[in-house]
Amino acid sequence: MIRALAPLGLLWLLAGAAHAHDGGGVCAAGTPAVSAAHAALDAAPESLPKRFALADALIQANCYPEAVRTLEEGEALHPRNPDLQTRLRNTRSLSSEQTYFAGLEEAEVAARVSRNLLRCSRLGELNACDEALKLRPDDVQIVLAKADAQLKINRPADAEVTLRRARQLAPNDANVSTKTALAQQQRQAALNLCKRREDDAALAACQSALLRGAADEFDVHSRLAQLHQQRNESAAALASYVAADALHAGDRNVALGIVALTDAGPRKDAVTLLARGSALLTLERGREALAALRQAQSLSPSLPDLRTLIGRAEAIALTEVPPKPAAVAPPAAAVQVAEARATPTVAARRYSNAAEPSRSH
Amino acid sequence: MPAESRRSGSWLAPVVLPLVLAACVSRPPSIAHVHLGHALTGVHVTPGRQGYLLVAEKQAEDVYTLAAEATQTADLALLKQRVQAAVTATTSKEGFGVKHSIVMAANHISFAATSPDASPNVQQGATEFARNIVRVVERCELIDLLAMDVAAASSVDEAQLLAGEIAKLAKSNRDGEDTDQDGVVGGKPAEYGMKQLRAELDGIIARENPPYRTVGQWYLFNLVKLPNGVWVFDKLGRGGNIEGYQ
Repeated sequence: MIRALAPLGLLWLLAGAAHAHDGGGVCAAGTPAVSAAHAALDAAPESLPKRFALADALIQANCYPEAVRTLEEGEALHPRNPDLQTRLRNTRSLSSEQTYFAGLEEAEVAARVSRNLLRCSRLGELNACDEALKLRPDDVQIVLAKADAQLKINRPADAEVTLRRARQLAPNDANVSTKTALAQQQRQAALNLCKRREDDAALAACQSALLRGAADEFDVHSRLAQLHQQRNESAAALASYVAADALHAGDRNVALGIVALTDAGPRKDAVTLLARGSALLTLERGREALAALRQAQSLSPSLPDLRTLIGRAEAIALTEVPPKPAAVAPPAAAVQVAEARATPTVAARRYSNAAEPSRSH
Repeated sequence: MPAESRRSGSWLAPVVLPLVLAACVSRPPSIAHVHLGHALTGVHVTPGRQGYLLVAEKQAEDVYTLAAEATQTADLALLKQRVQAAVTATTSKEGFGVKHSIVMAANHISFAATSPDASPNVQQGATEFARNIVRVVERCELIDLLAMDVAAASSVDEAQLLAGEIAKLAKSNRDGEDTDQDGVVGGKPAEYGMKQLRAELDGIIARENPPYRTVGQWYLFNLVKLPNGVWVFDKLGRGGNIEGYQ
């Protein structure tokens, strides 16, 4: 009897194994097939075929532990039933396989995370930190390792942002507070260097100290703009001035910088024109501001604050003294006659000798 | 023959008893025990025809030796060579590296559990064993990844750091580790190495009733899977076909 059933059992095992191997899947115990099989068994709990049918339905739904339990409950009612024993053994194997393959897949993922964490924390490799975070985004240890890596390569502002995330994940972690204080100290040191020096180290220090949302963000952008301008890096300087103006419009020095760079520079995009117009307004040059703002409007009518700025520019322009009309130039022939009258002519010569008359004695 | 002996039948004992004894000695092992034997004693596909677990243990020892040697040199080329040898002993399928061998050991123990003659002890033990090899497998995967980094390293410092990590992993795979620092090495499955897995399999074997007996080579190497999936012994001794289910 057992030998006759064994091939069927094995085929069933292999079919189930195919389901187990194709990613395992989540148990879907609420399917109509499972519900119907449950109902049938509840109506006839002593029925082995109905118990087997429920176990099969649970296996189809990837509910291997539940299928094992169903068959184990049948053991009490049908002790030593060979068919039940075979099914129970095979179902336990399927359940074990599901856990086993899930475990092996998890091992592979865990190894990748560990490798990235090692490279992040021991070699300060930021890419590795980001890769590890893709797999475990809420792992505070990885977030802290990333902050460490950022501090190691002198990016304290970035580290502060990363540590904010760490604080969200672990608000009471003392390690987070310690590292945050360290990042703040490092950023302060960078700020000091940024303000005091003019060399490349100062430029790098400003970049590393720039923290979005910080109280000193405007100052750092302005300082960056100056340093870039000193190096004739017009595009970078303009970008920094524009960023500073966006934070705190109306600063005269920033406005002068924007106007100087947009006078000389080739950029005529809507954002640049808007920045130029805003800067000219700060300098109270209404007509020029209006020209730039109207150009920006023609390129991108929906820019924020554009209408307000145009309104202000129009108001200022109205108060400005219109420029003197340019003098009208006379026609060319009249110019020649006037020139002729102004210049004395040389008298015509009456002697046939070409030379100038000279004393003969 | 004396008449008394003929009447009592005692003359039969010297004839029958040896036959009975011979039958007892030559009774084949259960299919479940043969599968266990493939893990524990021998199987004809591995180097030296040793059991999968034995191969895994030996390879784990070799990996640790090679990785430790790699940390002893400051010569980048030599370091890379030794790490490469270590990773081959860890992950090679053809060479039955640690990972492949321990996975095959778990597979065969699981096959034992699905045999009709498997005891409840084997059924339960197989499930736990399969679950508990995961940490060793994870370390093998990590050794593989770090070895790739070593191969790509351009600085001795980086290569030495990574080789050191590989050596630590190899040691943990051999001996287990104490990650929770409770003073017990290999105290839980997440800390297991080959030593603890061996102890676990030994425990399964020790609890077997009827007792497990070391399976003879003939049975180990002549287990055949029929097309209908039933396992039998090839009476003609032509060699088993376990490759079919590898």
